[in-house]
Amino acid sequence: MQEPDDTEIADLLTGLRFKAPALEDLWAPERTSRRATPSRVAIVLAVAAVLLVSAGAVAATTGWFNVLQPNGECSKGDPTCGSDYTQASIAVNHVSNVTMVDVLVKKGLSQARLGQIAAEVAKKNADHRVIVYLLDDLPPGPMDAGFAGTPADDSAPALAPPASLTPYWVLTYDLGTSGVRETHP
Amino acid sequence: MEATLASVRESDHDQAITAALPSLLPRLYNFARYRLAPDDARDAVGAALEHLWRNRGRAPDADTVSVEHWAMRVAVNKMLDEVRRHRRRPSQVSLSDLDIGVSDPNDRLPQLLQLRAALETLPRRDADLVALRFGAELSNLEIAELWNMTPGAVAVAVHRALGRLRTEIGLKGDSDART
Repeated sequence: MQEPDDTEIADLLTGLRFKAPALEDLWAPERTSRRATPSRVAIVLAVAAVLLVSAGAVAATTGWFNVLQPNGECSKGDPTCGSDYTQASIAVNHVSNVTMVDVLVKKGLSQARLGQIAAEVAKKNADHRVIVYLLDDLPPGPMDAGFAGTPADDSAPALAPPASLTPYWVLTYDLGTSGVRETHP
Repeated sequence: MEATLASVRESDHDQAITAALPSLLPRLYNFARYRLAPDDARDAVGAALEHLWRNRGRAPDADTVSVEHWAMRVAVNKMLDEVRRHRRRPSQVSLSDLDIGVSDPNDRLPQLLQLRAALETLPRRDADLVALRFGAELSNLEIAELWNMTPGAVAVAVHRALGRLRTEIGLKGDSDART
C-alpha cells in the first residue's frame, strides 16, 4: 500500500499566510487598553526605541509611540514654559507600587532620543514594568541649573513629584555628554 | 547619591535581536494565526516579543544567525505557552487577513479557508506541530530541538498530523489518486 503523499497538503499550508501587523501596531493604544498592563507598552517601548534608532528614524513613526513626543506647548503654571525644556515621566511599576522617573528633555527632542532614554531606564529595570508618558500638569518647582542641560549633581534642585508617586528618581539628560544622570532625592 | 548611567547605546544583543525582528515577526504571527483568532494572535506575539526583549541578555555571543535562531526558539516557546492559555474559539478568517500573493490562483481561496477551519479540529499537539512547521516555518530539526525529540520522530509526527488534516478537508493525498 502506497504511503499518502504530503506534497499537496504541504503546498496548501505553505500558501496559508496571514498578514502580520507592523511591530508598533501590536501595542497600539486601543490594543494596550485591551490588556492594560504597563509591561505591554514598556518592554516594547525599548524595542521600538531601538528600532527607531537603528533605522535612524526621527519622529517618523505613528500611533501610540507619539505619546513619547515631548509637549512643546505652554500650559498655565508650567514652570518649563518659555524654556527649551520640558518634562517627560517614566513610571516604573515595581510589583506593588509605581515609581515615577522624571526625565527632563529638550523640547522638540526626537522620539528616538527620548525612546533611547526610556530604553535605558527599561534596561536598568529589566525585572520591572516601565511605561513612558508625559506629565500634563507639571508641579511647580525650580527649573534651574542642574536641569537645564547642565550636568546634574547632588545639590541639583529637583522637581517635586506628586506626593502619591514617591519615591522617585530624577534622571537628567545631559546634553553635553549625551548621557543620563540619575539623582536620588 | 548620584550615579551616571552608561551612555545610551545599543548592546550587541540589542542590535542582533533588532536585526532579527523583521524576519521573526511574520513567522511568529503566522504561527499564532494558525492557532488563534486575530486579536489573540496579536496579543500572543506581543507577549512573546516582550519575553524575548526581557531575556535578550541571555542571547548567545555569536553570529547573527545564531542569535536569530535563539530568539526564534525563545519566542516560540513563549508563544506555545500563550496558545495554551487561550480557550479554543471559532476561527475568524477574512479575506483581508490572508496574505495571498498575486501569483496564487484564486481558486485556492476556498481551500485555504477550509484548511484554516480544519486546523481547529486537530488535536492540540498536532495543531502545534503544524503551526510550528508551516506557520513559524521551523525545520524538523528546529522543532526537534524545541521539543527534545529526534528529527525523525518529528517528521513522522508531522506526516501523521498532515494525514489528519488531509482527511479533514477531503484531500486524498495519494499520488496515484491524483493522476
